[in-house]
Amino acid sequence: MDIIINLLIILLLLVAAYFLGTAIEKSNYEKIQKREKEFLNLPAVTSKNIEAMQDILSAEIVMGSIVVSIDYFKRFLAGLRNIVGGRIKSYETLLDRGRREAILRMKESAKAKGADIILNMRFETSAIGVVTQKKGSIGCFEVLAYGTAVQYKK
Amino acid sequence: MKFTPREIKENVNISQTSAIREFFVLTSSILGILIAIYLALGFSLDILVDKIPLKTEKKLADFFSRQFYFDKNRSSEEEYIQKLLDDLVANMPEASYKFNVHIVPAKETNAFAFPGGHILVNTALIEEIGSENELSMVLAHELGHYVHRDHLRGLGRGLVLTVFSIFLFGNDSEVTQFLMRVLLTTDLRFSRRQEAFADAFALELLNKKYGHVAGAADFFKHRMDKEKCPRIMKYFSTHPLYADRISMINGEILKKGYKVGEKVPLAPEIKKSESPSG
Repeated sequence: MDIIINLLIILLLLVAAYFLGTAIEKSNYEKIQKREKEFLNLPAVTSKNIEAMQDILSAEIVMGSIVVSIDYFKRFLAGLRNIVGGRIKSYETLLDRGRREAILRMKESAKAKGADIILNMRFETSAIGVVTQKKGSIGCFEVLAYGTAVQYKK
Repeated sequence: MKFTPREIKENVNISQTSAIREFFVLTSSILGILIAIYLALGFSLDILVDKIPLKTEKKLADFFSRQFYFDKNRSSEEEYIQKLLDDLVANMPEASYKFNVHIVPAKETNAFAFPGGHILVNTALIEEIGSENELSMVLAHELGHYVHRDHLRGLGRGLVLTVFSIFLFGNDSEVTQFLMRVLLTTDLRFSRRQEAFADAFALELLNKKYGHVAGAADFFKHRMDKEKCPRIMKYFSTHPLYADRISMINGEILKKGYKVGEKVPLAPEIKKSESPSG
């Protein structure tokens, strides 16, 4: 019967997506934590200026951007959540990873410019290619972190 | 102010819950609620159907007759069947509106009761009919559906299902379609009980018209010869298995003490594409 086969395919996809997604997320988090430790000495702050500002050699914009998508299982879960309402917990880790990764990329580019601090850091988040409730649409979004990389005079 | 780099260990932005657990809780609760709503609507429908005024039904009927194009020019075949139907209705004190017969070209051996008293008879059914009594039995059976308002019941449940599928998951979702199949089979079970009611009603009407019930089970006998239905299909079939229906009709004849007389042959108006095989 068609229906049984369709249902089995969905179930199989869900199981595969769950295990793959969990494994990928775990290794992704490990990498993020490791890199965050590396960039610990390059602070990124939201204030526009800081007290006791030293003499500045250069100041320029730096950006870090990432586009991420969610696995089938989590999307299914979010779909169910859509019916009853409440926190879509399955999307939380995705957004968290996206924001942290965006900061890391921004810091990477700042470090290449020899910056000492990133001031006035901001986030932008936007959905890409999302057509609500339509089959075949890809649910993904972009996180953009940007700020002013400042290099002090030494 | 001196900057001291510090690593943040905890993360307040992530809920520490099991996704699998959430999945099962959500699916089971949503399914449960859906089934509860469906059952509640089904039961309320059963109560409501008997109370729907004729005026409302007429409105519904208009909507449905617009979907089908009913030919105004009747063939002699249709006229004959219509006369047969009118004779039956004359014996039916419960009749509240005018019944119309329409012959539909279709390969499936079946007849349908549509809202507004439109009885659709497939050409394939006419091909198989052997006597006037047999045809009357089929028509009386459809009239039985009207008396029990089954035509509205079936519609209501179908309507409930359609609303569910479109609102929650969208038209083409596999999950919805599976749900619909499962729920629809329970509907068919209801229908089988209704078919039995209609059969009993038809038998009574047939007896009123002819004074006997000859040919009542003929149609089902023909059907039984034509298709050998595997036992497993019984659950999914709308009409109770033909053997069951024949025995039910025979039991009913014995119980009520109906007489079995001479069958009336079909009028020449009924055209057969091939010589009747019986």
